[in-house]
Amino acid sequence: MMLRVISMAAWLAFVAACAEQIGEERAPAPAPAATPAPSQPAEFEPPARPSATANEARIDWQAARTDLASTPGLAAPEGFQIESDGQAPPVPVLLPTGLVTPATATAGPRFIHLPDGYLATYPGAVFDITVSGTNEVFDVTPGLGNGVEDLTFNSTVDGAMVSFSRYGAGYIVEFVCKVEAGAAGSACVEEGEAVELAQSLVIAGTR
Amino acid sequence: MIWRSLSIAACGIALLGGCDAVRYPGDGGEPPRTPPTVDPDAPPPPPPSEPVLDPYGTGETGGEDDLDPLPVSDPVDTGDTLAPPAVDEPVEFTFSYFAPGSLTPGSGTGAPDQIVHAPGLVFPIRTAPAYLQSMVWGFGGGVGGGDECDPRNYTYPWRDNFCETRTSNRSSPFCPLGRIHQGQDIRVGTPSECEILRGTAEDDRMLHEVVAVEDGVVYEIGTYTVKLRSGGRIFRYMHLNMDALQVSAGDSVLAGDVLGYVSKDFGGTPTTFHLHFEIIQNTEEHGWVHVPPYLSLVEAYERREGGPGEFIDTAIAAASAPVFPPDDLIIIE
Repeated sequence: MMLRVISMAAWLAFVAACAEQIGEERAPAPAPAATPAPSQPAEFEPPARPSATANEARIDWQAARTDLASTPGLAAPEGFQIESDGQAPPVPVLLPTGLVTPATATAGPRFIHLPDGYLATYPGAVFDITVSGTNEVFDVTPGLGNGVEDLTFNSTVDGAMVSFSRYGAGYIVEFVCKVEAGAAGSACVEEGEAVELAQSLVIAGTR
Repeated sequence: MIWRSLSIAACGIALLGGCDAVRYPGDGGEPPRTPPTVDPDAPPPPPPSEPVLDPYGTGETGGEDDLDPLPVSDPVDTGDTLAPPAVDEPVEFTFSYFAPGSLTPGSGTGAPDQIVHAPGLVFPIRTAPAYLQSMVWGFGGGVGGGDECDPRNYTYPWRDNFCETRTSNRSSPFCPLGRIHQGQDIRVGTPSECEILRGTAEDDRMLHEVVAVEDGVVYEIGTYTVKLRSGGRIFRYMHLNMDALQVSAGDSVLAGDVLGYVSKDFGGTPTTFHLHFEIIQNTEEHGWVHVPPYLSLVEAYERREGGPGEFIDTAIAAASAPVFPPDDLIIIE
């Protein structure tokens, strides 16, 4: 009697479980998603490795204000919104002067206020110019270095760049060639020309 | 009574195992099904049989009241609960990589003693398999010759190629020598996808998505370059399909947003299908300079793949003969 009860119960359980599966199989298949979402593997935290640390540079606002007061007014390009006082970018704004936007340019100069600094882009006929400033600096080897006041020129794949530090902030002027590089990768801008332009930047805004 | 209940449950579980599968939450979905092979002439399965009373003729009918309860021993107090012994689970590596600074033999002198210059990046390729390696020294490159879709290009381990030898005078203070490659080349996808891309019109090459590695602003789109500014870092992406970019200059993007697609645009200069990726960083020591991206990408790929990469010690890796470029070869990128 006991065996019969056990056998019947087991058989019913078996039938019920399989019937449930059959029911699932007969349910209409959901329509495939239009764009499959990328797989989301379980969150994984990589092993700790030595890393650069970000710091906020201390800005010498007094020096920037002094320089601004002694600088002839810069005729900022149309559309530039360089605020003053507390609304200004968190680094003194350095900009080039005398750049002329070519008639063929599809866009004019652009100024972008960033949480850590700013960007100013100027389209050109031979190369575009971008001037950037930031108060974020990365400590690769703690204790080494204290900003680079001297201008440093370097060629890049698509042009060149000049880097320097002033008022405690880090600045970079990038030149992006609009014409194809030469066979040996010669840039569209010579070092002398690039450095001269970086040296001619003037202060156009500060806190 | 307890024994009977246990028996019923055990029997039910054993029979449930006879179904194709038992599903449970989080089991990863429906398993592949194999249709059962049934002999059409085989008799149907018998119905549940009537139990036989006293099958051995002993006079015992097996009535439920005849069951003797099993002796139950008192639980033994062992004091503190003992944890199971720790077992070292095998690590499942998601990929492998040579040491940072270990360039393809003969291709240059790598940056020693690297750190993660940009921790926390999102990997610049959204989903496809990616292979950090030299394009110039790989199959289909200017030095190695061969075909860029060669399956041997789509294998691990990864290779650093920051500081790789170049013809023009580009540098980084992190490289022991000048005239170097200022970024990391990333081959993407599979050999068959490489063939597909090769057979696709240039404007329609939209197979592998390139994404923003950090929140930032796209501020410059050149002939073959997209630049992303994120705090004191600039990320430079090259050789995307410039006719199918998903962003414009001035756009703010979030990490993971699609910028465009891997291609080989290089302003008319021939190159292979790959992403060239650079990090320019404002450092205390050197100002804005190119920094080695290799370990930042290793970390980002580990996060994307959900598991660690296997570090291949170059000292014990199989040696390969260095390949030196011809003297008259001009290596642009």
